[in-house]
Amino acid sequence: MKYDYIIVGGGIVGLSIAYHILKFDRSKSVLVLEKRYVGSGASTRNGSHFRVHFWSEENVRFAVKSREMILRIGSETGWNPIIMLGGYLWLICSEDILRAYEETNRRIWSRYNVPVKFLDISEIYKLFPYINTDGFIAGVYGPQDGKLHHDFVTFGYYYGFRKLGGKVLEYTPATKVLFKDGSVYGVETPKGVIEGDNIVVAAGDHSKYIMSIVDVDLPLVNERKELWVSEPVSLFIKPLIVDLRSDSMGLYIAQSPRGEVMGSIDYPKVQEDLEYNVSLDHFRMFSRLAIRLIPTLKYLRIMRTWSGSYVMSPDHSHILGRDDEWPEGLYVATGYSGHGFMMAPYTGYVMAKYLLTGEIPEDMKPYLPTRFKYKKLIKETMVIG
Amino acid sequence: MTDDSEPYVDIYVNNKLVKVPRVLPIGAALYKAGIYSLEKSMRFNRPRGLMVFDWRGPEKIYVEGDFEYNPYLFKASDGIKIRIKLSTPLPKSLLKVFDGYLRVGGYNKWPFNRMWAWNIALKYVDDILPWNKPKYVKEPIKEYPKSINVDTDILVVGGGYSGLEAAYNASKSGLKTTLVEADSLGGHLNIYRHGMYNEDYLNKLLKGLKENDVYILGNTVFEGFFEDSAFGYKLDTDQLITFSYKVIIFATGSYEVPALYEYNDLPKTLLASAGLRLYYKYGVKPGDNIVIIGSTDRAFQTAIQLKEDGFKVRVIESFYKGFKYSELRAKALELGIEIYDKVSKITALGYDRVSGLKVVQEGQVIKLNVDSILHAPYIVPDIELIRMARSPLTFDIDLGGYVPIHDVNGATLVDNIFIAGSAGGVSTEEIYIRQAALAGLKASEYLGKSLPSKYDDILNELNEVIGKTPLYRNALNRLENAFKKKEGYVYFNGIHPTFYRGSDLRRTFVCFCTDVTLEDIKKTVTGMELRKMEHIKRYSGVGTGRCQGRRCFLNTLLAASMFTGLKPTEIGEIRSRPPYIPIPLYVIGGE
Repeated sequence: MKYDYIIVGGGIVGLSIAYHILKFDRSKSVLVLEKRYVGSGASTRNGSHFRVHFWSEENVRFAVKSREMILRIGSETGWNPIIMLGGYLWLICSEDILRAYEETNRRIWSRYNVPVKFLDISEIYKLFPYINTDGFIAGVYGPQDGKLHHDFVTFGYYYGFRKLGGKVLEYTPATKVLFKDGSVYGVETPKGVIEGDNIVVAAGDHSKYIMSIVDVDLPLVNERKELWVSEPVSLFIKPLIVDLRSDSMGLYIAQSPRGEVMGSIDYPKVQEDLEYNVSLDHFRMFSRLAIRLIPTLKYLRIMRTWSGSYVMSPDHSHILGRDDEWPEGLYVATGYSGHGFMMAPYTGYVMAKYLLTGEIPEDMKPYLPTRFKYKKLIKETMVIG
Repeated sequence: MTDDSEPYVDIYVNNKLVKVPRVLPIGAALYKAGIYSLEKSMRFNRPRGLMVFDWRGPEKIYVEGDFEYNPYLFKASDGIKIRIKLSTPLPKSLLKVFDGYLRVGGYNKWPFNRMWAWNIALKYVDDILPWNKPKYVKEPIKEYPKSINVDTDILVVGGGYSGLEAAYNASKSGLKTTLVEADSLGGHLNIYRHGMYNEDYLNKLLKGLKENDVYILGNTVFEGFFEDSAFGYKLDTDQLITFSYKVIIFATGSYEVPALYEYNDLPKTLLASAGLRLYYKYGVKPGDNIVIIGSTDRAFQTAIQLKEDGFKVRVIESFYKGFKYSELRAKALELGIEIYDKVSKITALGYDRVSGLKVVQEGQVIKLNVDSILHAPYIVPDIELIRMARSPLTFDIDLGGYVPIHDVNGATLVDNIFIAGSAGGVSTEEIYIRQAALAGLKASEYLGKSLPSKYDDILNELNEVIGKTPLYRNALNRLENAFKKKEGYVYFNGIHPTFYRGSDLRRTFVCFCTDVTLEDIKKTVTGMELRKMEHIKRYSGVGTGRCQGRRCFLNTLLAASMFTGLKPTEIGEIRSRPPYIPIPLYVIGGE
């Protein structure tokens, strides 16, 4: 059997694309190939938060639409993703950074109807009494952002896709992308060759490797992000808190809807073996920074640690679609640089529209892989979470 | 202020004054004072029992103004306020909303997949969940506790009798040996009477360790492996410990897993070793009229010991039988212990404590008057650290489920990892002790020391003991073959969780940390068709709680296998990640 679309990667992005293709056109045949189990990569190894506050207009537009879809996902898939609009809180220590936020708020966020609130120290103290505000001058609070339970979004798309007649093959890695006369005709797996007209690579931190098989060098680096999660405790940290002090290594702390406090710091390190390990050195730094920001966490007990990948692109934004120099029928959706989960619902929507009609939706245009060639990069600097 | 010599302290439980002994861990002290439940089942709003009384156990106690504590590691101090939230003021219909707060099932039905309904439900979240609100601390920490680096040739994890034997034999060659133990040295020797392996034997071993200059790191949990170092946590001083070693010997022992039957979580339901620990270590009776569930050696040993000490004891047998089954069973019968076999269904009666037991034996319903239930239906090796160290495992139900592939010397497929005692598979004390001695000697041989002639004597003795128990001889042969071929195997004879037939699966708990029932597992593997352990875990929430699957993994595996007909290995494994038990954040920050 020959599939119309083969999606390589059964994470949230791949499943969202697969789901939306069938949602728009039930007559298509779609197969999702997954190397391990559904959601085994960054779809389960993430901070489970979503936000709309990016620093580039393209990303804000994309994220606002994605957020609308996230809020509707419960009724769409029948899986309540346990959403809480706890917001994001950026803690600011210098006037320059504050001015940059004010500027962006005026220029972009207000225009897209997602303005942030500026809080002074006494307001931070009143709203978030557990934060040690020493060293900060202000806070920026984005009330439109929130948290969710990532597994239930993934499962929602997984079952939605299967219900529409889609097929998912787990524990089936695509080892080779096959092409002939300049167009793809299938993928090779340990279970044999599977034929398909179009192949979408949405394999997260494996994408660079899979594309290198067809001699396409995607400018991606898998950055390791280590995460710590505590025992469930009373839900007292409502927003995701980002510490913007220069010596805080981009610390963020949040609490999951189930009560587990989690956090991470930036510690640029390439994820080489994809074993998702953690280092003590890194953990120790996190411990001190986290207690400095929220002293109450002193006796909090850490229950589990793991790491995941930020698939970093040069402009910290995702890569969607194809380059005409590539074999016909080959597409990518990857390089989310840490925003994959929150962008996945709308990615599925635009990619499905594009794959079915051949026309590039307006919102997708800035994200084509050709932008690196033509030096039309997106100006995105806000990476955390 | 009270005098420290005063044996009792005043504490408050739900604002009521309770006098408890000062020296006991708070869980045991409260048990003595008649408070048997520290937590509730969040989903069903019922008091929750199943106490483990172990430093690695999952139960929690809520002290006002702080995060939760393990009631076994924490002693009462004057005036502390303990909150036990056993009921909620909310109606049942609202409780259903949060049915899925921990797993998926109930709350995904209309209207809870609608944002508006969900947002209303969220307002009640604090009333439902029993978690404690900590008092906010304002001052950041100035000084962190100093961390310790332990540099040693041989590191032995676990100070039960196997760990002690391994450390003693390893250190004889003069190699620097360190032993890590979180609790009291001797492990089960402190609570079980094993004939010739008694106090004298333990004292002789300890004396030997002292002569050989073995460094004993007490009150210390070996927490596992990070990429850059192995680390531990000293419980009494809150210090972080990092380890450098050439060889590591795992003597992590084994533990019981709960039996599955209706209302298996009632207060005064305990694991067998927990019951004995309560009585022999702290002098608190688990109950007067005790029933023990299981046919394992440990179940019968528990029964015999309690009977000898004057308790009224009954045993309900299950499928899974220990290596000394017939011998121990005969002894139990001789002592006048009532044994119920061919039982197909059990229902525990009671609400805030066990008040009785209904048993269906060959179609006949029998009501037993009991006030405490001890579980020992399966004994599983504690392989979590071994898995974390990436030593390959195999599945052998006779040895207790997943066991590390190793030979009789404890050598694994990873060069510098050795296994001693029941961590390598469940058998009997005579075997553990000799096998652990061999592991210690082989570990020192690995570091270039010659094997003493004693090695052959112990090996011969061990072979003799093994020869007497054909069941274990076969299991050991399978394991040896796997070691030679360097690949795992599946030995599974269709043993399944017992006592579920015809019972209410919604009230048969598999995971006690996150309230997962047998019904949920059934729904996950048959209804949702999620048949891999990783999926079962993510969908149902099993094993994502405080004990990280330690108590529920085998039961989930066997239940999933029963509902699907798949072999346990086809359902798969979970990854172990550090830390082994939850570790306070500020300990990690140690200087």
